[in-house]
Amino acid sequence: MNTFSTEWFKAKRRKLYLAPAALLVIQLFWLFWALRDPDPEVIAQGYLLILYNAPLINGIMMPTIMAVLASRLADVEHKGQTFKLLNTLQRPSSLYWAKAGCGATYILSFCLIQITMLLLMGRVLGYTDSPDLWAYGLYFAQTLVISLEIFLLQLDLSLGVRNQAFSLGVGLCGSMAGLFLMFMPQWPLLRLLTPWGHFGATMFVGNMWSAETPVISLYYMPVDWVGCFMALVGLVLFAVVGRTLLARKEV
Amino acid sequence: MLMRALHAEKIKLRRTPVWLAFVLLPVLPAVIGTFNYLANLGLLKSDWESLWTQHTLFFCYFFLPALLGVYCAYLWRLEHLDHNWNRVMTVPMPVWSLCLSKFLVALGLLAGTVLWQGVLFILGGLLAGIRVPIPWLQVMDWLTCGFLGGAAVLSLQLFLSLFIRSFAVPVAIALAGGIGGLMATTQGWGLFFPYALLSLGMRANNPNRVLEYPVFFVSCAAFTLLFLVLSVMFIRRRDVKSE
Repeated sequence: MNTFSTEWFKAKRRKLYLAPAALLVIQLFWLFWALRDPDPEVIAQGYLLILYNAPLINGIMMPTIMAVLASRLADVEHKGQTFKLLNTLQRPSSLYWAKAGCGATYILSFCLIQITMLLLMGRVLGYTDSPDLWAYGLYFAQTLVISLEIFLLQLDLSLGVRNQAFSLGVGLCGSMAGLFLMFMPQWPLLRLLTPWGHFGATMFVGNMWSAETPVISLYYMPVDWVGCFMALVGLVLFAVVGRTLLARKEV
Repeated sequence: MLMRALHAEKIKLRRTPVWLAFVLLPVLPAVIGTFNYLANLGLLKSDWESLWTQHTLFFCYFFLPALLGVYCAYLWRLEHLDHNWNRVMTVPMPVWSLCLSKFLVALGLLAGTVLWQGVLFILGGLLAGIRVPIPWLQVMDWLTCGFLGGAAVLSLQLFLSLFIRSFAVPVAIALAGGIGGLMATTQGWGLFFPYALLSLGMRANNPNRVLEYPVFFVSCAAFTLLFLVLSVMFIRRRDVKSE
């Protein structure tokens, strides 16, 4: 607990929340801008449309947001060259868990605000269907777990490699891979095996569209529990690997 | 003095992980864009323009600005670390040559990225079996205008990375800027928003878009100059902070 509260002291006046908050605003603005279609057919399935679009935007932006958050949490130790000092005062694993906990708090807040805003957006846009709470609950859980998974991977990279260009570069490549894997259902294995592909793998709202009848028809697909499980496996794996690597890191 | 500053920047770039992003990031949209093109041949026309949109659409709006953000953040990172600002400010070198050297090095990285993107595009088209001859002039036009638009983004990102000491924040701003550029372009304000100049120049979502060249060139030059001057003024007026 002591180490955890120290992390918050380190974050004081560094406005770590600013980058995720700004990107959250952009995400919501983007969704609002994309979904402000007054078409009655869209309005009748608006909450489903939100659930169809939100994972796509998460897939593009979340890996970079997570890379930024992890980099800012880790970079403070690299810049201050504090590992040598910290490791004489505490176990490296407790430092790792404190940083992971600090980041997880930001991510939880981020996901809570995001889902609240998505539900509010539906109201503002005058959608006539009602949101299925199980679907929004599932979306929230998936976003939280996958974001945490990617955050832990980025934290491992940011703590392990002093040069933050590396972790940010990986984050950007991940964003790109995640976006394209979303459009590649024919590569299910790749979507399952890469953490950035999990946003696409766990999507449970589909879109039926044809060039002849350009009407969007959305429907629930069977939930891919294997994708959800793989995200959980990734989360645990990255946490264990990161903790071990930090403990063994020569400072 | 400028040559010596350039040489120092070149040394800093040696063995940096920036090269990982430089090589890998354009490969991803090229590979997947080509596969996407092949998968949607029923909807798309079989020509170089359709392939170009598949290669550049997402890359120009979301990832290229962020990649340029990484380049610029890296170029200022060493100054922000340790007590290096104290050293930099005591070196008998004009501030403008410091800023210009960073800009020129970033410009070199941008040129490499754009050329690499062009090579991957041609390779992707040949592998996809496009029979139409390569429209070399058009490709040169897209890449050159993209390069000029990218120069404005570089200048802005260098300015941001100069006064924001964190490595990651300017990259996040670049990602946000890319999305803002998409919105600005659809509203018709693209020429007045630096991040939109990149995708406008490359004609990312519409290869046949008629670009108003004089306005585009003036806009690119104005934003590039503006942020370069702001960077020089910032260093001259603000006292340095060291870790």
